Amino acid sequence: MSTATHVHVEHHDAPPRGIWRWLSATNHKDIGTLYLVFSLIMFLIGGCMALIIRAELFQPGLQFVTPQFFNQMTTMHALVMVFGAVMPAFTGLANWLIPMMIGAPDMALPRMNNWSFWILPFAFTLLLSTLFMQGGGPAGGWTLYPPLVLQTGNAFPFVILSVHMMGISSIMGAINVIATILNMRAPGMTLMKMPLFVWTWLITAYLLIAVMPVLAGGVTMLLTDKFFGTSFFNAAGGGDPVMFQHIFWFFGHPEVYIMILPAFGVISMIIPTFARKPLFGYSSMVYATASIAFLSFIVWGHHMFTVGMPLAGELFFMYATMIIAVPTGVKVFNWVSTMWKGSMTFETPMLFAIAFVILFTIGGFSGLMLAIAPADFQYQDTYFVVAHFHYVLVTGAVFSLMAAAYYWLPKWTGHMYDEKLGKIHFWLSVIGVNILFFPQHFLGLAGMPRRIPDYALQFAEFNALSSIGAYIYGFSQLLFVYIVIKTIRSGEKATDQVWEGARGLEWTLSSPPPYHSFTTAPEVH
Amino acid sequence: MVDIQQHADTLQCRFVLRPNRSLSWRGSLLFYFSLLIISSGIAIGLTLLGFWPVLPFAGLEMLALGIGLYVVACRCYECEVISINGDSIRIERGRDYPREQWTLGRMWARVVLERCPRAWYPSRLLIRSHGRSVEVGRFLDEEERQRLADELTRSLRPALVGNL
Repeated sequence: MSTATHVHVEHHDAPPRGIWRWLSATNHKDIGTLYLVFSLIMFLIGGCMALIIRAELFQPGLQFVTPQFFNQMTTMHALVMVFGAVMPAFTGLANWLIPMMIGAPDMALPRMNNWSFWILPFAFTLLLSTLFMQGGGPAGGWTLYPPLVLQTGNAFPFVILSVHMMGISSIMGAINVIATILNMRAPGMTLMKMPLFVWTWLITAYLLIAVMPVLAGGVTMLLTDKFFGTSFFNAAGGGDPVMFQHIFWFFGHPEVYIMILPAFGVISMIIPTFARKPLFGYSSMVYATASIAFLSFIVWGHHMFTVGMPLAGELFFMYATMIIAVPTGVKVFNWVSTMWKGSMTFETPMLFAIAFVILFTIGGFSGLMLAIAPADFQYQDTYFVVAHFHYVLVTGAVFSLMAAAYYWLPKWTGHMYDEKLGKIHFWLSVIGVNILFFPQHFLGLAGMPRRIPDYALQFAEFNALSSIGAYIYGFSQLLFVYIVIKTIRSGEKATDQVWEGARGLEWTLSSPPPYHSFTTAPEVH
Repeated sequence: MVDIQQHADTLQCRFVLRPNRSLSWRGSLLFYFSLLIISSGIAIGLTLLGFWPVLPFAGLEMLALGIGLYVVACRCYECEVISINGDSIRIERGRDYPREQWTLGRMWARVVLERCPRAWYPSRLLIRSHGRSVEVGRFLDEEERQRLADELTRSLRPALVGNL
């Protein structure tokens, strides 16, 4: 048989090494790693801000910080956690996993992928540097409501620029995800055969593209109101400050789903693996995700029931919000049904996934309470809202990220993590987070307002309890960092499939996967 | 993917090389316009309410998305045709029509598969003749490239044997 002449060539440029490898990275795995490391750093920075907040709130009165600095911490904590920790973490997962799950060699636009990551460190350096500027960082809340936010000192234009940079990064990431999923699926990988994580990311990217210009336009109008004499949101000039709230939440509510839909995808991958059963109701999961995405465009008004809306508006937003419970309920039902009579084992990723299902549902139910317009008049701007969205974003989004990290870490590093330490991390997290956020429901129902550094004496016990939970949860994350570093450096060799019940193309690759995935076309069943 | 058309009597052979693509051009357009309608609907609505700065951002974003999808779609529609005739090898590359073409002498042609020892870079398949060399099948995966290299070598061999 005749064969081609095989030549080993040395004249290729040597692979980049050291820092240059990461600066010039176009490989989806390298960029995924960069995103994940960046988001972990941001998670720790945002977490430190949260601990400053909880230290101040441990007792009534002012102990550690000034009210102005306290407000800077609440604002920065939210901006860092939303745009610096959760969103980049899911983009990191998307980069690592989507090509491997759909049988593609890489992302569709690798150079753009590099730019979309490297904008982020500059954006957040800029944002964090505002804390050291005259007048301090932004203190008007992450929602940047005018006219309060226009009182920000020198930091204001830098904050707006950093928000634009984060937006550009997100949009480029979303374009890449869409182009990759649509064009680069392996032969046989039809849309309805795609893993749910890929589906949820496709819908998330769609949402991102649809709403990001609204945020960009909104913050630009703040800038022109402050520096160029326009009156978009200035009542004295004929503008309407409430309109900013409409604009912000038209972006902001889909943004919530941008942070939670990929989490649904992660959980839908993990539960079937450890229940050793296929996912119950795959197609209903896809349609439920799409329905949630659609509904996210028409519920923004529930964030502003108390601004003085016509009754018809209150009713519309109330019922539209309640409808979201239906597709979300379908998802929870499907996860539980997947576990039903499954041959379940409880490794750390599964523990985080089960905790997600239970605790996210608590967040969902408190969301339903907040959706009831007349009740919301009491809950508005209280700690009940803080408790609600932290149950959604911490025990929802962050727990799913932890589950994802433990689930795919052996695949990424080629080493098994320390299961015992993983379980200790899980239990410390789940206990800490409930001590932290559950009492905040009671504080809110009793009338404690959010975003205040001092409070009335009757709130003291629950606040002290909440702060203790914060420190347990916060410091237990250092254990997670240790586990990740330990797994990268050593540990039992992971098999290619890693988990007995794991299904999907990524598990057909070696652990860790080769630099170029799928040098032969994968078989899709 | 590689499509091979071979004529046993004439020793003529044609290889049509196409990258994997999972979405048709029509599908790309459909997806793009669905997003365009939603995004521009939102932006135009806000513009009509007086909040026009949303519009340029939406426009820029849709432009970026359009370029991204177009570039990827074009790459997916790239095609290479290698035709081996009596004493020549013709290589054409393009999408709707041959944008680039080369003609190499069949008698002196050699198929070379260059591999980087570190597996950092993908292999390169070259057809060399008379000091000229043309790379083909860049968009194929390793297995396809290897198979193509073997098939090309086999197709060139009869001419070499006959010549001897």
